[in-house]
Amino acid sequence: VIARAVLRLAAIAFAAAGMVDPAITRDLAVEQPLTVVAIDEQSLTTARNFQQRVRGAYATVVRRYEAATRAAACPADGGCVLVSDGALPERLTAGATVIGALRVPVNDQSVIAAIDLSSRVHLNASSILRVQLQRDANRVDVFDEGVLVGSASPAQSGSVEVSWMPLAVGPRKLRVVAGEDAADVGVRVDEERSAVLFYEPETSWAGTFVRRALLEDGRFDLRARAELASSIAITRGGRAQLDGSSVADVDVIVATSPHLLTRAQVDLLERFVTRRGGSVVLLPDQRPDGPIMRLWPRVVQQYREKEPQSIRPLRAAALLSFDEGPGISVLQRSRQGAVIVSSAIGRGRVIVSGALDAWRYRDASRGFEAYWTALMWEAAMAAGRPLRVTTRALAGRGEEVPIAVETRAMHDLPADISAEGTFTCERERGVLRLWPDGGPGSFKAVLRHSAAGRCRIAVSVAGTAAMTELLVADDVRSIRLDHSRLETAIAAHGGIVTDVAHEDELLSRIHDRLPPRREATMTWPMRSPLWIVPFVACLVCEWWLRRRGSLR
Amino acid sequence: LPDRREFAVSLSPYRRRLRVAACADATLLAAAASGLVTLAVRFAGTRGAIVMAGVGAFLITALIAGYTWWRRWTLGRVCATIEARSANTDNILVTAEQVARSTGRLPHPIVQAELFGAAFRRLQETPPGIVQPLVRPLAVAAGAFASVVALAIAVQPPGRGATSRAEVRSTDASTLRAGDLRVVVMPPEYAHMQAVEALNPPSVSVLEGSRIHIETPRTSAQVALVDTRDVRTPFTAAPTAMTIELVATSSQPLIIRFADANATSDRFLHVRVEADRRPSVRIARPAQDLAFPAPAGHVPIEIEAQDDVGLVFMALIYTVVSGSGEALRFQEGEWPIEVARQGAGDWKARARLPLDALKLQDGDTVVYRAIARDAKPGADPSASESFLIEIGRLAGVAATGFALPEDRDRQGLSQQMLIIKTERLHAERATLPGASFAEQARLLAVEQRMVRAEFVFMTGGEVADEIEEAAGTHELAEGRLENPAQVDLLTAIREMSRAEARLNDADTARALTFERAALAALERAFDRRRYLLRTLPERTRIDPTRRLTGDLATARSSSLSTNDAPADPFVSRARDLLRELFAARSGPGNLPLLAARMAALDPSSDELQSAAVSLAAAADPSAREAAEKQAERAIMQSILARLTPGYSMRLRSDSIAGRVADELRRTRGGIK
Repeated sequence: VIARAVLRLAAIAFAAAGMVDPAITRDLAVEQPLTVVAIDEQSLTTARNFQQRVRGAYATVVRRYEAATRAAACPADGGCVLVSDGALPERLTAGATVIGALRVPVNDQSVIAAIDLSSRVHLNASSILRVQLQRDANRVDVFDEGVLVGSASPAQSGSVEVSWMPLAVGPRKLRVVAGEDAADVGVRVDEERSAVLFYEPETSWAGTFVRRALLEDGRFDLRARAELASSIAITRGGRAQLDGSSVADVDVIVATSPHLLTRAQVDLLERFVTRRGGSVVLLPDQRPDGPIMRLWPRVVQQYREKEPQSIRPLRAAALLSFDEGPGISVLQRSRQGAVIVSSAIGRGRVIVSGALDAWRYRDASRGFEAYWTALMWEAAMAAGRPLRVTTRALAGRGEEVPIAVETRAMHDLPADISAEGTFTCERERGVLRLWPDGGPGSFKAVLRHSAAGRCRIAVSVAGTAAMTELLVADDVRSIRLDHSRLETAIAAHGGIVTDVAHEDELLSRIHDRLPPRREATMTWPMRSPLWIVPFVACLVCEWWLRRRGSLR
Repeated sequence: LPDRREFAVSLSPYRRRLRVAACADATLLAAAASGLVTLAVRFAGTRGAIVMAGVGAFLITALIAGYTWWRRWTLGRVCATIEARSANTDNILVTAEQVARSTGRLPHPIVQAELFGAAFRRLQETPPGIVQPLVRPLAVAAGAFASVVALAIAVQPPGRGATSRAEVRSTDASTLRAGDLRVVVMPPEYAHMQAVEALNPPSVSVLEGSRIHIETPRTSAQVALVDTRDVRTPFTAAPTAMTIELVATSSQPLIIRFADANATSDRFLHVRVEADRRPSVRIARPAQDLAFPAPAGHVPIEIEAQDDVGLVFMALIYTVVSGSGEALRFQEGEWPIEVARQGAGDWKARARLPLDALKLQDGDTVVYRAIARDAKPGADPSASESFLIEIGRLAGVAATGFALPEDRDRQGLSQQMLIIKTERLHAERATLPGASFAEQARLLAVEQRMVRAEFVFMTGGEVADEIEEAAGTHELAEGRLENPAQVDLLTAIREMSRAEARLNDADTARALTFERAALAALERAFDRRRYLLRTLPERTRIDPTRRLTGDLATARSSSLSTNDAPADPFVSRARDLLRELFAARSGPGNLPLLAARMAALDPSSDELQSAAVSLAAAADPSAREAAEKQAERAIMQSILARLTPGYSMRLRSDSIAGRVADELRRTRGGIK
């Protein structure tokens, strides 16, 4: 009787528990999802081997990057490790944490590792093209349409700087040849002058010699004003006042004796830098004070050497060194620290020279003049025009070319500002569809053209027009294995790039970025279908006992 | 005992040695003949012809003499020579040789045995090395042969004339093939050089003023000379050839254009003109100024002069300067020299200048220099540096320009006196009351200012202040003020300014330092051995009466024009040429025309000229490819040298960096 009662109660208990469906919360270890992406077929084996090493600790998946789908290499969740021979996917991640890249050894016979050059150069000036080499080469030649335009012999393995000359105006395809390897880069050659406003609140030697250098350089449209007395000034060129109307169409403002700039002038310079995105170059001859300190990088040290110190190609004895804080790019450095710096402010930049008496030590090699004219040109290129249309100078046939349009003005732009764009290519012309991008006045577009030739892109924003050109070429030879690009892209996501031999570093980084974690997990034990077995067993046993006792 | 056959064999070593010595003598004779022939034909042929003549003379003479002298050494002559060169003179060897050679009745065998035995013993007593030593003849022969080789390498036709990288051969018009060019360079008569001709040369190097005669066979219908300005000058038709003649005045590329043929048959001729340089003359001894207490004794003088073509005249010129101030007297003359001509363009001369013969007096100065002239018509003579000979007491006289002996003394004395006064005041510093010391120092500062003012006006203006002077120091250092006397004067003025400032501060110790520096600079500026030209040109002379007379109200702003310098035409021309050179690679291309344009780009550039000549002279495809590459690089380098130089520098152009930096600065508490 007791046994039957127990069995009956047990069955009832099972049924009641099933109807109540209780939930239990437990702290359980959770496997982090980790995706190992192989960039190509050759990298797949290495990716699988790496998967074996991390299996157990993570929910690891190996997948192969499919360039044709244009999808991101890494998924949206979890961590991601890229296994690559140096190639970089077009889109790296859709949201997953990029932990690093594993570089597989390849039988790469290429010589050129990377090429760096200005995107825009002037027809009447030579330019420097820096080539990174991963193998020795006796000579690096640069050709434009088959014509030799530059040549250099590497002094040391690793990199070489080639001085080259522009051949003609427009977008150009430069072919860089090193040994048996060759790669193409695009550059835009211009013959327009950049507008520079040179303002001297008082005459100074530094200003005089830099101004003379700019005057002799055909790349600049120089407007200068030197204040001699309260109402007497010497001007050169067109409007040369430091006021709103004069600076509206200049790219660079050079100011000497910055301690004499008034508050209103400094306000104007600040608007020019932060909103217009212009470049301001300050050439002091003493440590300044006053309103200009708003734009002035922090001075670490002021000192005077007995002998002029080399800050190649300049020399100076009276020096200021600056703090290398946020936004500071060091252009020239002395033994004591950064002497000439570019401070990024807003959309633009303020370039400050701490070589106070560099003008005294000008030498016959004209390094002083070459340096300042090159700096002004780079400052003008970095500033760009008020309506800036940015795109590549060279594209392969059928390649998608992103185009960015940015309107920079000294005043606020209306939110509903619109833009129109057209493109005129070799066998096709049409309207360029411009999409708003970010703030007012910023737009983006994509152009894809299948015929080789020049494409002219014209954009108009609120009555201001700008034009740029693109060269679409048949046989564009790019550098496939650009290790520096891979490292930069991975580093931008906080990841590291290691070789296969050092994959322990990557494993350690995975543990840091994806630590094993425990989660509070709710479980419903009565939802298991297995409970039916004891429930039925109880009922059967109770029935069997009753039958044995001749009960119904 | 040996028989006569063995005797003959035993003579063989002697004969061999004598024959070797004969060959050595023949070599010596041949070398002498070769030298004579080379010298004889040196003035009448090209280098190749001279070498051929010399080598030919050597070989022919050596063969003839060697063969003759080789045959001359018969056994009888060998035996006679052995007898002659041995100690015994009993003719035993001669007798034995005659017996051995005899075909008639021979002596009794016993006599023969005795005779040959004695001859053998004689030979054993006289080994071949004693009869004919070989070391010396062979050494002489080797030396003679080496001389011939050296002469063949070193021999050059006399004078400077046309040079050609193409085959050069002597020819006349009748031997020219169609399209051939014969270029004859006739140097100017005064140079006394031989005319030189070349066949199809891509370039010729000629002396300035040479006449260039160009001829081509008459098979071509029309031929014209085209210069860099595209001016065509047709060839003149002669009976057997088309000719043209021009006078070389400046380097230029020329194109010889055949009108009836396609453009690729143009011929390029680069005429490189070497100027007849002026003679250089210098006084090698004594090469310094001299001072004598009395006008007695001799001054030995050695002069050296060189010229690229030839000298024709050399002389020693002197000027005696006597008197002083406004009463200066000059007496010029020429002193005989003894000239040693070491070559047409290398003369040396000696002279002994007798001071007593010049009738010098105490205080007089002799200025002397050498002059030399070459044969170029109308050329001015070149002069050496001038040196002084001073007699007696200090002579404050210079030969040209003006000198200020009294002023020099006065100013030097004033500054010296100021130093003495300052030293005295400095010594009394401990004893004098402070106020009195400062007052006396200020008085000295006034004196220093007066002395300084004298020199300020002498240099033509006022020096505003010390800061501005300091700003100009780099200009002095860079040599912008090229007159060293003026530099020293300005240095003295600057030091006086500093001394004045220290005296005003009553700092006599530091004032003395600057005063002495000023005096040293003054002494350098008025060094009596320096020729002082006028320190201030007339047009920049300051009018002191106008000082401080301006009206400030009339001061106005001014506006200057911008310097819109046109682009360098060289660069655009060179760029075009680069493109055409590239286009010529894929087609036939008119390389001579391209070479001419390339040479015309910059006649002063050796790289461009050399590349142009290589381009024009390229005959086969591989040479053409190499020449095109050389030309490309030369043009590219010349463009790069003229463009504004680039500098490796990048500035970020993205606006994100600035915004991120702004945010970081804001969170860190501001920029500064």
